[in-house]
Amino acid sequence: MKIRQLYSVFLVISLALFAAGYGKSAAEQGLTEGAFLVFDNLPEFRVTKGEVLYSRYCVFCHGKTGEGDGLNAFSIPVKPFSLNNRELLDRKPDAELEKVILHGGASQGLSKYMPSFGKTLSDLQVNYLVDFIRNRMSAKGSSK
Amino acid sequence: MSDKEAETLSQYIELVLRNNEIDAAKTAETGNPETGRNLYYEKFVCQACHSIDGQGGYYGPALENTANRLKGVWIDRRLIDAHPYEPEAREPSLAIPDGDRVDITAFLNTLKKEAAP
Repeated sequence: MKIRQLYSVFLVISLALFAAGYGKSAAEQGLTEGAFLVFDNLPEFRVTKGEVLYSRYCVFCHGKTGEGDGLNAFSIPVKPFSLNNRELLDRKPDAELEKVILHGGASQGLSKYMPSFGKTLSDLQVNYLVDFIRNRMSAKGSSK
Repeated sequence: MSDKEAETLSQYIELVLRNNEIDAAKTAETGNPETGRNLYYEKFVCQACHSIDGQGGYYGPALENTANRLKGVWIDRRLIDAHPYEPEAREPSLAIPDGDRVDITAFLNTLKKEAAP
């Protein structure tokens, strides 16, 4: 009997949650990016978000491992930056990486073939990308 | 589709979906193709992802036959931001300024391939 009661309570709660928000986008539920502050501060969450963005916007030039050998890399005259090279990456503070992503390579005296994503990605998304590059791609902690 | 349904659909498109901003957009006629060519290759470096006659990247679509494929006003809108028209587009939103956009559109409208005999 107790199990049945528990099951009923579970069912009611599930239905309430479903009615409240299931199937709605974050925006429809009144949530905006950065609303999950708890998650935003979890390193693994940030890196995972960064990985999704990387595979969407960066992988075609910088390659799956960050070697700079993506499929499109062979058709542009300047080899994309090696994001898995610890030594190279250690010389670049997070702020510089963020500027390159936001404003393009030319803005930092680097390759003009690196476009700017400042109108495409939010600051938070750029942070996720940098976290992914630092912690996964070069297997090195942040140098902030 | 019946005539009545077609008419209803046309009215819906005309009244609801039509984007007046696009109607009012500048088209390529006023642009300078030569300036547009420089902007394409030097300032916005579009060749990193797009190819013309086999030269350039192939991340984005090839552009050598743009004049036969796309209207100037469509190019113009895409140059601001592709995402309203193609949410999954991986092209960054470039927010190219008005003047530059008209010139690049004019340049792209010179790219035409003759049909094979």
